[in-house]
Amino acid sequence: MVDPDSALIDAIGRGDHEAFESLVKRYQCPLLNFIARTIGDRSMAEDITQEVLLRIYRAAPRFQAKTKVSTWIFHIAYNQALTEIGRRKKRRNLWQALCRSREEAPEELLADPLEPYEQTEEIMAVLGCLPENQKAALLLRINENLSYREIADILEVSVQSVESLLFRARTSLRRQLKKK
Amino acid sequence: MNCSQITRKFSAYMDDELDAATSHLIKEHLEGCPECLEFLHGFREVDNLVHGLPKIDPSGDFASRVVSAAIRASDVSSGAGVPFASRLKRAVMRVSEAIFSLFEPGAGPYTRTLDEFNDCPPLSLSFIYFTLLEQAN
Repeated sequence: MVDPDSALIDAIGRGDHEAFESLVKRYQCPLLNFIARTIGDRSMAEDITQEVLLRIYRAAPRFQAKTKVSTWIFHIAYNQALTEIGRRKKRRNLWQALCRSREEAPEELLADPLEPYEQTEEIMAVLGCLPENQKAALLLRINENLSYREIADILEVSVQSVESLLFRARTSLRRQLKKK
Repeated sequence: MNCSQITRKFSAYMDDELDAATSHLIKEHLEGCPECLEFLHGFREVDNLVHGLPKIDPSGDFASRVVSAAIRASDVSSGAGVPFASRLKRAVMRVSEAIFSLFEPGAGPYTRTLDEFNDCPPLSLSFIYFTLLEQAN
């Protein structure tokens, strides 16, 4: 089957700005939602989404149609989200180390930046507790309706691992939501 | 397959990722096992809740901002419209301005006065700059 986005990527690779605009309009919502929920922070999600789309723009001339375009795009988004999560963890560890000797640590800096953006929403809170790979697999399956093969390509794991990630994610969520 | 083995397949079962034979086996098991059926309902509920989360919309001008940023980036990388010499001159000017603005008298409480730099070696960049500055004033 022909990937409908291949022609767009070819055109972007040739410097077609209108093709890029079409791609942005098509993917801005799915990417924004995926990134916001993976990193657990809505405010930063738009900047990261922009960075992902600009990376796609720059990399389009080198795109090789080994995978579907959507798989490639979500792979870039997942890596960017992981980079952001790693950066936040480092920043949090640094502040914790700096504030260890202080009596009063600045609360806004020590607050867990990985907490979900809307604490009141139970499901977001529970989703925020899942490991990143489980969360990403679940979001890609439920919201983007991707196959296990596509999710495996995005997360760079085997199809069996995807099955296991999804099973563990759903089991944890089911257990947590049952408790509430 | 026992209940534990069956439940481990539920994710793939729900997502239509099993072969027809295994899928049929699970279907049959579910017909006679209310515990497993309840477990599966729990999974479906999770999916419905995650799917039902409110969608986040990008800000109104997001697409145009991204496209403009891409165009800017491609113009810079290709150097479209601006000759190399002009771009180089502009970059050098920007760096010089940034450095010497630190020494501008009266620019702020943390800047230093020009008098402190009177002993610049002749023909040094600083000496030439201060000489030109003096002439300009």
